[in-house]
Amino acid sequence: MCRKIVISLAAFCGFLAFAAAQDLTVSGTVTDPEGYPLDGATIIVKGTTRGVSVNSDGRYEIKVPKDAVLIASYLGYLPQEKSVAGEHTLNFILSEDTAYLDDVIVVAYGAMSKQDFTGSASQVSGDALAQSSRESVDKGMIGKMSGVRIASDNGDPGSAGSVQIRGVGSISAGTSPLYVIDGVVMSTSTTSDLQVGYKSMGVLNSINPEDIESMTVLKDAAAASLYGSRAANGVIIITTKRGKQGRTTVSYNGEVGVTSMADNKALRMMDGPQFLQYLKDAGDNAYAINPAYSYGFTGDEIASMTADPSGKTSTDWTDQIFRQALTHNHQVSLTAGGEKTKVYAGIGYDKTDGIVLGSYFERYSGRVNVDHQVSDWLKVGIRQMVSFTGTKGHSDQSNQAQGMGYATPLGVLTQSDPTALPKNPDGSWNEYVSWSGQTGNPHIVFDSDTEYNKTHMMRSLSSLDLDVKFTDYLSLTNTFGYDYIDNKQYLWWAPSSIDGASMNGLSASYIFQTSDLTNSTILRYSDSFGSHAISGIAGFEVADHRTGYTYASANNFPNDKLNALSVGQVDGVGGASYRSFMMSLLGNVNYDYDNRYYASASFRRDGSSRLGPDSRWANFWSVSAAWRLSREAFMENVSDLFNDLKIKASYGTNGNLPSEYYAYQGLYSASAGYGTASGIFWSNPENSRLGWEKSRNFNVGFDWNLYNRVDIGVEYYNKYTSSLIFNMPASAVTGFSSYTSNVGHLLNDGIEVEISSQNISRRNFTWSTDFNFTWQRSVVKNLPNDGADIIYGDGGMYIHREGQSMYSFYLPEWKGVDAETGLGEFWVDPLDHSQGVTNYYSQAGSAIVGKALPDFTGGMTNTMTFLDGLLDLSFLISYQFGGSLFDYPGYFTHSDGFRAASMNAAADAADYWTPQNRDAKYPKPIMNNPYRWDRFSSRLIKSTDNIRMREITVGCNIPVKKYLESVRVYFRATNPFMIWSAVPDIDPDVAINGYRTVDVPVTKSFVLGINLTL
Amino acid sequence: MLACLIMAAACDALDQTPSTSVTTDTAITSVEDLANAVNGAYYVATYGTMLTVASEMSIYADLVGPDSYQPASSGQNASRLAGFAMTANDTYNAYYYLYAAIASVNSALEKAALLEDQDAAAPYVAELYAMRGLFHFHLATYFAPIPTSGSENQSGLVLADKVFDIEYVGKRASLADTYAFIIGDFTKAVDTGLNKDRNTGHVNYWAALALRARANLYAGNYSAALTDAEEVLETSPYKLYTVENYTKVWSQEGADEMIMECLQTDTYNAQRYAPGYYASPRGYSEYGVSPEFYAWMQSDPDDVRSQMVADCTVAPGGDPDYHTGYYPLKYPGNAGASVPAYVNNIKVIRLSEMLMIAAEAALAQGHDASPYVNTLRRNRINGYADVPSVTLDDILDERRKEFFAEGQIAFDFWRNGRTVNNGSLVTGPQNYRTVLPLPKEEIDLSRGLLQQNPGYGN
Repeated sequence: MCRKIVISLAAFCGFLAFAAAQDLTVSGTVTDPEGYPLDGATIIVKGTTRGVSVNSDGRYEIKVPKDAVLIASYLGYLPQEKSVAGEHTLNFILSEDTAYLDDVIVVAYGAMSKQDFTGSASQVSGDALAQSSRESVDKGMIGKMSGVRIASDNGDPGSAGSVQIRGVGSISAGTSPLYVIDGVVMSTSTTSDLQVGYKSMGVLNSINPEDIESMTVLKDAAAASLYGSRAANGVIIITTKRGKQGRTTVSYNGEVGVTSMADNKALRMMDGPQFLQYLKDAGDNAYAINPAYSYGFTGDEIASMTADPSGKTSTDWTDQIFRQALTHNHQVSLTAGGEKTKVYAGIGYDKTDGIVLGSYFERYSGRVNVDHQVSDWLKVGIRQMVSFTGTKGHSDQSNQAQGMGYATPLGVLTQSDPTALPKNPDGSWNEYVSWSGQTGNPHIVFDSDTEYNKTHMMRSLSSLDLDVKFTDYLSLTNTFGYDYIDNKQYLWWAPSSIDGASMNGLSASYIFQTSDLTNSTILRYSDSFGSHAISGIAGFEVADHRTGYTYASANNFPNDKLNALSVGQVDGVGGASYRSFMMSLLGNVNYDYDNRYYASASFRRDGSSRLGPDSRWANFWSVSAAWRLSREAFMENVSDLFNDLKIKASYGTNGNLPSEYYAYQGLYSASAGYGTASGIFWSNPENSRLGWEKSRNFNVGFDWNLYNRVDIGVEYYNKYTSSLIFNMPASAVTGFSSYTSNVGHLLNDGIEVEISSQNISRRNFTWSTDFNFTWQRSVVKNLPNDGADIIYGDGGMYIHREGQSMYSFYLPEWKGVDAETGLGEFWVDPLDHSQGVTNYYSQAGSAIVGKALPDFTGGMTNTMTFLDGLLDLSFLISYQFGGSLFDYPGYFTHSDGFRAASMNAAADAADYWTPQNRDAKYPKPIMNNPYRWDRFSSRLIKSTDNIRMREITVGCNIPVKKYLESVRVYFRATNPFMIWSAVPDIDPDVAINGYRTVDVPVTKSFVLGINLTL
Repeated sequence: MLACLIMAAACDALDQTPSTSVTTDTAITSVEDLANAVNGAYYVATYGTMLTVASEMSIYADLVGPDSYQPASSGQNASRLAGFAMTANDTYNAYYYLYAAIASVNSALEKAALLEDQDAAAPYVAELYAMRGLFHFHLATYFAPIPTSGSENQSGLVLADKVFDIEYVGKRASLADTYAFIIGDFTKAVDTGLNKDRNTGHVNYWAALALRARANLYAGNYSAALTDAEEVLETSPYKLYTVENYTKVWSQEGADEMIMECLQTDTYNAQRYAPGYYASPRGYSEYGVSPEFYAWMQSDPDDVRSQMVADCTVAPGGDPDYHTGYYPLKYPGNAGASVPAYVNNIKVIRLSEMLMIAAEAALAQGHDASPYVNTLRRNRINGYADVPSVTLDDILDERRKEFFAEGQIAFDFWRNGRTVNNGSLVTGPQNYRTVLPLPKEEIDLSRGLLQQNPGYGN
């Protein structure tokens, strides 16, 4: 908008200076970068008001002076100037004005002009998402928006990432945002509705990022409270691609690349000679205390039990388990549109092999979006997406419960004997490489189809929009959506496999089905009177969510060859279904005066079946206002600096529901049995008082545009959640270990800054920077039982304490190694070091020794184009400071000899105390170490501070004229290197709660891609 | 208006109930429901996960007993129990599941009182009391010292005698009160119409009596123990195993002298945490018997029990996955089990133990215990000649031979103030290791009300 005004002004001023003779006819075309004619574009002679329109072929003709300068402009494109300089032909290729696209923002139940928007939201284009991850839209958001944190700690393709908007919204209820796709709330199914443990799986992977036009994150109450009870964790609105009028394009995007472990040093284990020495020392040290600790053997005797005690063999099992994996992706899409009908259709295929032998992710997806203007008063939109997602992988530790499966990558890695060779002399795989005797050769375990976990997910997402226009002011939209997911999971443990041996093989098939039916009917009103503009909506919505599963398993298989259920003997069957229902009334009003003063208010009333009759209905609301100072008369003199300046504030409430379907009901489970008889048992205590979790949100900020080149957005938010849905620990004596209750308060607040700047904008070189910064904290404000601490998590490693951050680690404090004795030392009381040290873990007291949540996070993207757009380069850097991780694998790989009888140790654990190495990093190893220095302590807490190169893309737009409209080739590196990290050799990308699991570590990838447009 | 209609129609949809559960107020409305609730409480008590009475805890007293041996270390809980490596941070599921089962028992008792047909309900009510006694007894043997052991620790259990509010936090009763409560529950069961017929997998009249005898022995009430044991020996329908059938009874359900066993099936079992998998040379192999015990058992080839330990010291074909050692053979798998190592009924109490209880109780009262011991030996040893007298050592040795691998041996020694050397530690009455720690979560949440056992921190 602003740009148009500027151009008009320029044209007007030029008129006064008009002179010179007309003596040349210039003609040419005006097209977009892909060569499409821009019908209706204008050509203006610079410094005059004279101009012509471009015809439907994109051609124009105009008589001008020889030295004239022509300006081509078209709505939504950046204007371009060219000097005539005696030429008869001047062709213009206009590039899209991204700022213009940003002028519209998708909001709850509609879209609105960004300048009218009083809430808080961040938007990212689909292309930017797909560029970062072809696998999953959530993983594509890393580093691109303020206030949004993505945890993607698992490098297994198809695994789940987790997204948190503005901190941790809840302690026990869900913390994942609500996803809305094309106005339809996507399935609220959690991963647990759709699979059985074993390995991480992300439901969001079923959506092809390449079908997405834009993604908007609604952050504050003003933006999100129209989604009421489900908006407490923010809302992510996905808009898929639409057809465009007047042009048909067919394009192909293809990619091929390799993936490998981003930083594999943390998983390096001791080599053969190191391991032998470690066994000797651990065995001897144990024998000296009590021969029982080393099973009556000396260190030498234990070392002699390895595959090759000579020390001449050394196998790096990391390289045997993890590999360079291939990834490729193909997408063909069509966009077309006439006057009445617009179509987008796309078909995509993605195959990403996992870095662990034998694992992969695969997706076929198709989407058709049709929008049709039936008549003046009726518009119909029909959208259909179907995708098939397949994964194959191995059990992992993603459930963060103590223990490690024998057939997990980490289990095999740690238990493999580094003095054993992967292959026998005859070239076959060596079966006997396990030091513990419980695992197997990774090539057999992971790559021979004797033990795996496969999923086949089918998802269909259908929606219908009916828009009925009653008058220019009043219309009705009905949106119907049906999201159906069917996930089949197959587990196969062959008779010869590690896990299958005891049952003579196990094959299990699970079918999970969820459906979400949503219908919303919204009446819209919009009108203006003079300088007053008013708009509003009112509507109702119902949402019916169903989920269920059926499974069957068989054991006692004749051999490894066949795994169909009918081949084995019946083992078990099961099945259950769940349903939740919600209905809502909603409405909002927006008012603005002279595009200067804005006010809006919204309201929603929700009722949910997840709560008892007395507490299931609740109201949610918000109010917000904004003031565009730049529209005030007193700002006119500084209008360049304050090209646009808006301050805004909002306040409102949001809610959250229990994750459980029937938590308020006192229940007897009938899923029990004794012998062959039925059984029922008391499974849930009644809790009719259970209610909504409510949060009050305050948001204040400004949007400032400087010189039409720099956009700065700054916001402060304060989100106070009360009546938290909390899994209160109960005494086992009651028969239950926890119960759900509304207790406790949580405060999340933070400052978010987003800056985007057009640093240089020349024909041969453009450079723009997008920068975002978030300071955030999540503080437990109030706890039940007079603020008593609540200790939770694996082994009681986390604490909720008033005034402390969420996900605070509560553990004994490790002091270090006693240089004299070689024993490890803990502080008896971490808060009072005067109480001295102890060698025994069991005598060490606990304290808060760190927190998982970082204080500062953010990212920066720099984009450059060279030679008139011929070449481009962009790179994304992300950073975070102030958080820590809990190194769960380190508990196994740095056991100070405790696990020497079954496991190898990390390579860096070789720096342990001996009489000759007294300033060692680690204490002396003792087999079955009675001191238990390895147990969870501050020793396993490591800083996650880092600055990371997330992404580098180099592209070339090859100029083509014939057959093809455009060709672009590019090279992209994802996670190519760490710029700086506080703790080297530990990947700082961990789950939100800081619990590091590395069955499949974070990956880096290098990809070559091509985009062709016909 | 359309909206209002749809909303009204949809209102019922806001009342959803689960597909696998019924609401508490409709759960037990008939005697059949009550019977199912009895089954359900057994199901919870014997839940097949780690460290429950269906898994490692069923052989806990063997792992810490005098004949314990770990042919392999698979990093599982059996070897951790045997190595006294467990801390208060470990999750003792037995604690959670036994109390959960007791809560179901108490809830069922409440609802049983409301049933119309009280006569038909009576046997189930009596069984529920007996179950509550049994589950408390299991808890007491794990988490409290044995009253007669001579331990200074005199803390018993938090007694769950009724349905508690979810916010309830209890204090530990004294050791004496704990055993009085357990014995009281068995007495209620015995006095209120328990069925006297065999009922495999369920506590009947005889099982309640036998369990009361055992509880009385642990509590030092020797004359009461002797009386109950005598009644079971004289009047019950159970018969001692014989030299002929002794080796074959272990896979049988409802075998001759099995008074009470908890059922395990292909569907409900502890899988790899089951004692059978621990006692298998191809399983976790963390539960074997010591070479000394094996040799001792073989020293009398006329004793049929010598056949219940296996010499697996040579791996067939040199198979490195075979963990060599000596193993007990009392977990061959229930007849017809699809995975024999997983599915073995949990041995609770059998007739032979009545002889041993009677012997120990008689001896403690200064009577001659030899008739009981002789009776047992005659049914175990070919050509056995009676002995005129026995000592406590004889009785304990007889128990080692008769009840190894059945979850009793260390308790037998500790009960009599003896020390036990299980190969990794010598434990005696004053050693805190003879009592397991209460789960740390329980201590933390009680905020000082619940006392941890000594030696395990606060």
